[in-house]
Amino acid sequence: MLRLYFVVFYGQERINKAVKTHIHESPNGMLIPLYILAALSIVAGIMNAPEIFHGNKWLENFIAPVTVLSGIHLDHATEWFLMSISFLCIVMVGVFAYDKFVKKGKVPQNDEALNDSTFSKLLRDKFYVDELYEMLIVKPAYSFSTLMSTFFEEKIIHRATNGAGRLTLFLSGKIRKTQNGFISYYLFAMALGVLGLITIFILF
Amino acid sequence: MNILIIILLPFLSALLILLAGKDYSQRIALISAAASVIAIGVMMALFDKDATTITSIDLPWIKSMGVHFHLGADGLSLLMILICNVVTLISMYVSLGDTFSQHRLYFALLLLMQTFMNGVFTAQDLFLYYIFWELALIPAYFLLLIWGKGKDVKPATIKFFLFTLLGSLFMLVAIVWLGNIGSIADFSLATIYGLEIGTQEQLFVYGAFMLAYGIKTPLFPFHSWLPDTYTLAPAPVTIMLSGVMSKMALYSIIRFVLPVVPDAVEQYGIYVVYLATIGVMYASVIALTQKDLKRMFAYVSIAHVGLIAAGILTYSVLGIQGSLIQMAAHAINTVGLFFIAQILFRLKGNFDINCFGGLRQYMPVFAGLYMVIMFGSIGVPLTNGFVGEFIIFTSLYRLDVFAALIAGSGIILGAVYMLTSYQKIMLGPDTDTTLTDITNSDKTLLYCIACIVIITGLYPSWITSLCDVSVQNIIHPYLQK
Repeated sequence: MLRLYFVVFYGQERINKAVKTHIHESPNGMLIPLYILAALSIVAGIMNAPEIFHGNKWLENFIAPVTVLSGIHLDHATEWFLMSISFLCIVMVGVFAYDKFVKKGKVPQNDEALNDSTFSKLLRDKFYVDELYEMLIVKPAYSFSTLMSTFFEEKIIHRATNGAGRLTLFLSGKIRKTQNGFISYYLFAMALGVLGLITIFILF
Repeated sequence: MNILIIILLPFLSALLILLAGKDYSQRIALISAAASVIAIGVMMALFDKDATTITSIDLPWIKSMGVHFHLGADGLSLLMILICNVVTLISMYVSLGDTFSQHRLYFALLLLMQTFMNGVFTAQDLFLYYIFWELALIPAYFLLLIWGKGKDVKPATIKFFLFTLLGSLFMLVAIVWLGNIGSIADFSLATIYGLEIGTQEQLFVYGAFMLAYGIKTPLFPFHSWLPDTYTLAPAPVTIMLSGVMSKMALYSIIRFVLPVVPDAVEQYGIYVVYLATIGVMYASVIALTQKDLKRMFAYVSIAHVGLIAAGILTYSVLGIQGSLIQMAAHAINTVGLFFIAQILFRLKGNFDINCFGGLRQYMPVFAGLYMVIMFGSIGVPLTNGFVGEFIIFTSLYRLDVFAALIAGSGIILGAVYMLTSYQKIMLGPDTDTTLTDITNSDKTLLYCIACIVIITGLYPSWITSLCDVSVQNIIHPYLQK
């Protein structure tokens, strides 16, 4: 944030002349909401000010059901220690950014032109979370969908239903041939049937 | 008001259309459909919510078999008739946008379909119910065969007809058995509800009924007739099939399966719940890579009815109430989606998602209305899809966490494919600058659908209060046993 702030507002000027003539303070329509937001951001900080500053825990009490389980109480020394560390870090980064972008007037390069270390590349590519998500979730989901619709749906579900119809037609084609209209065949079939029934009755 | 009017109005209009001149068919059909909506509106306004049934007609029909022509409606039936009549009106309205050959026959068949489906929702005699159930299939068969588009219409129609008929025949066996348990044959619902059926027999009846309803709803893996049928049917017929016919089976599960064979549902319901929730996931996964918009919406429909069936079979007041809200929501949303597909088809002559792009620049109103209906289908809060989905999830979660998880992942995928297809069709660049926004008549219908999506989302309790007594009557006898 400090890098952004110093480069934009205090850094070396890089605006071309045509654009420069248009620059002016923002209109009230933008300024008023910004005033309100700025005021509220301070209020939000005070709402849950640390105990050493006699903070009231308004925020914590307000969202009590959520925070009741945490039950963490820090002694004052730890509170001082944590606050000092984070404050010190912010100051250090601020000084570094001021020195680099305001005093020395360095202009950050375009991302494309950058040939930098692995770490800043990792930061610039957002730790590759998007790529990981694409690889682990999106692509497998689509591949699975293609597999299901081309294989399971088409080859198994549809074939099973259509196959039942085809099987009926096939069997009907075969069995139909027994109905050939010759009485002698029917008599023969009847004799076979009677013989079969007699055999069953004798055996069982 | 006499319940018979719900059946007679569309039936007589259908006859009138066949007898009247060619020029009058559209007008008669539209007026009849609108009058049906008004009739059900008046009936609902006059309906006493604490009354169990308004029995208005009970005539002995086939005395030797103990069959009565017995019609009646409670809150549950009224809700279903409302859905049926509103969807029929929308279907008629959509029909006006296209020209149909032999349009007298076309409109008469649509009205006959409405008649028989209303019959299913009002029949108080199991045999009469079965007759209406099968009769409803016949107009659907001809509508699909004569006006369906594509070279595969014939095989798809035969598959649809035979597949659903096959399931129904098992149900017929169960119905005949149920009607003949007592000393005299009696198919009236009151008698059937009072039967004491052994657990073994219950399982048999449960299996036969669920096969019929599983195919008609349809549940995974009996859904193979649906994608082809919905894709090849003309838009108004797809609207009737997806909006009402799928509800016939879901209504029947509530009306006949739960109260008649409660022990079987208690013991084996969980298996169907699993089947239904796997179906939600399965259909959503397949919808993800569909290129044909209408086919994708067909799979969306399979996913949604699967969730509704799962909600019903949790066998809890909560699950059934959620399913009823979701049935009303699904009827409207799916009808809206298929109408949107039809509008897009009129633009470019096909349903391929990749053919479209950047339509929002030329059709801002259409884009907005499409988005509202899509949100309803995804189940975004404040739309009609949210409430039912949420209640069904709660009831599923109480029954079985795993089932809730499977169904939940399917619903998340639902958001993915709906938003992705919207992005491809409506956003991005497009070179076709000749397009203009949709016609006023299309806009009117989409505005109406979008309004229903939001109003039902904000105020869904009219459905629960309408059906509360019916649902209690279905669940309570079992709890008291």
